[in-house]
Amino acid sequence: MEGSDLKDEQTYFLTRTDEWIWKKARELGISRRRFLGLLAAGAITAAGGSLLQKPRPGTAAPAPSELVVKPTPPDLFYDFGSNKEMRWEVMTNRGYVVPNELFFVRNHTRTPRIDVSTWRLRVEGTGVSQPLEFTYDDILNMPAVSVVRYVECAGNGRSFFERAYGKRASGTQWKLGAIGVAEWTGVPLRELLERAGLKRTARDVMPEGLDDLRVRRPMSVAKALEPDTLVVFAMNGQILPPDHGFPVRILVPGWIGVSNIKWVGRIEVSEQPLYSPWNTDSYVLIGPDYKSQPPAKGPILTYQNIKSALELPWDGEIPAGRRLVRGRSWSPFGKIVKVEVSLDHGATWQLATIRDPNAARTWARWDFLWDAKPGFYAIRVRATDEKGNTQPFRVPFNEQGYLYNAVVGHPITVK
Amino acid sequence: MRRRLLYILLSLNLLCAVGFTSPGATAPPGKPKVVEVVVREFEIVPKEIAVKPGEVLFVVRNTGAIEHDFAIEDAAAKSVARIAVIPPGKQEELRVALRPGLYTVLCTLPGHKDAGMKGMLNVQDSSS
Repeated sequence: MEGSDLKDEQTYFLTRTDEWIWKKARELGISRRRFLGLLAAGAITAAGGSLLQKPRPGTAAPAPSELVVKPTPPDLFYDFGSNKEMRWEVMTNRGYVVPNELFFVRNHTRTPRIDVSTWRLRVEGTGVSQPLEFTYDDILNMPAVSVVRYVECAGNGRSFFERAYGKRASGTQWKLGAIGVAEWTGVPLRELLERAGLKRTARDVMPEGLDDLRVRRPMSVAKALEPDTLVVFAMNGQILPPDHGFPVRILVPGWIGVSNIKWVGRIEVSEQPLYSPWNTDSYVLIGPDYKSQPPAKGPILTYQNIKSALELPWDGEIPAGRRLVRGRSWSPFGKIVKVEVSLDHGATWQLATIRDPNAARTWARWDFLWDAKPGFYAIRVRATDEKGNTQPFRVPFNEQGYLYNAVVGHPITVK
Repeated sequence: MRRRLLYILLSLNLLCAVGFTSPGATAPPGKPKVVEVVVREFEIVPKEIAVKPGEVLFVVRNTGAIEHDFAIEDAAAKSVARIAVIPPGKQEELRVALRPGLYTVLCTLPGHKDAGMKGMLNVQDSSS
């Protein structure tokens, strides 16, 4: 018989809540603490009942048919259906990383809702001697590291091809907000591959997502073994949100965004080169300046390139007067060493001041003082990294609109 | 009589809506043949289109929930014409002059063709 303290309403409620938590955690095969963490992150709403669900005002739990899980209101994001672009002005006066709720979303279809109790990660293929299957707890109990890196869609900046060439490139018409920097926590992919008996003859590694299209894209074993190529389970100190790959995603720093496969359920390791539509038909350069490279339709993309963005509204208004204008630049090849700004259509350039931290494969913040007089401006920014890569003034057209990193005039009206 | 004419017009419109255009329906000079196409996850409707050589206006509606595009490739998989992006719920048009031959219509967004978004476009004279 239960104790008389259950007469107290609060004690009764807390006791029942605790019982429910234990029951749900047991059903999912995870610890109570982990269950609570997942619940707090909204990662297992489908597994939970109504007992602990206290929706925040205006943020009802999304129906499975919705394309993304997190709220993406128009004052924070540009809406492209399953893709959501971060508005750069929301990063004004923020810290170094992009908070999870502001991070851009690039979904090839919709965010899948993964049941972590049945989820498994298989590592298999001709390139391993001992194929293995990992549970979520297996992953969480392995040695983990945290790194700060950017993830950027290969098509970030795609809309500027139309401005430059008068014709659109295929795909989401991003401006420059398909990028984000986060602290990613996860297990080095090397650890999983070695446990599965990675062969010396292995050549390619291909993570595969559990989304509708089974998005998959290979990388070299050399890239897979880099210390910051991770099987990520946490983002900015929180359990990886559903829209960003829960339960795990791959982090492939420096490489194009699609390499960072979300919702991974399988990793194929092969002694033969691997191909998928994501490195033969798409994420290749097709255009008059590029030749086909069978079986791919054009040069296959790997690394991103150097770019910059201003923390200002696009084609917005700001009041006249002296102000500090901020922005960020990033390069996969090294630290940013120089950022130049032009307020007169490129006739003259001034140096912006770069702020710490400033490291490779993430971004550098910078700012400059501007005594803004009324008028219309197209602010141009040009960054250079420590390897000597500088943003160009022209990028050859490619049909799928990748790697647009030319200097862009950011329109702004001063009133 | 007027009602009968309306019925015929509606029927023709419906035929266009399902997209299988008759090779015998010659477009008058200067007026392109109109072909209506629906794109959605993950199919192109209709899967087979037949038209006569000449100007064709493709009216492509995205009834899906995510972005798509619409491209025409020749038998060598070379791009002939395309609509770069069709947002969900929107309609875009593509006017193109087609020579006789077999073409593929497809969505070139990553993974969409392999998921089923492709169809056949047969351009031929009715006499051939």
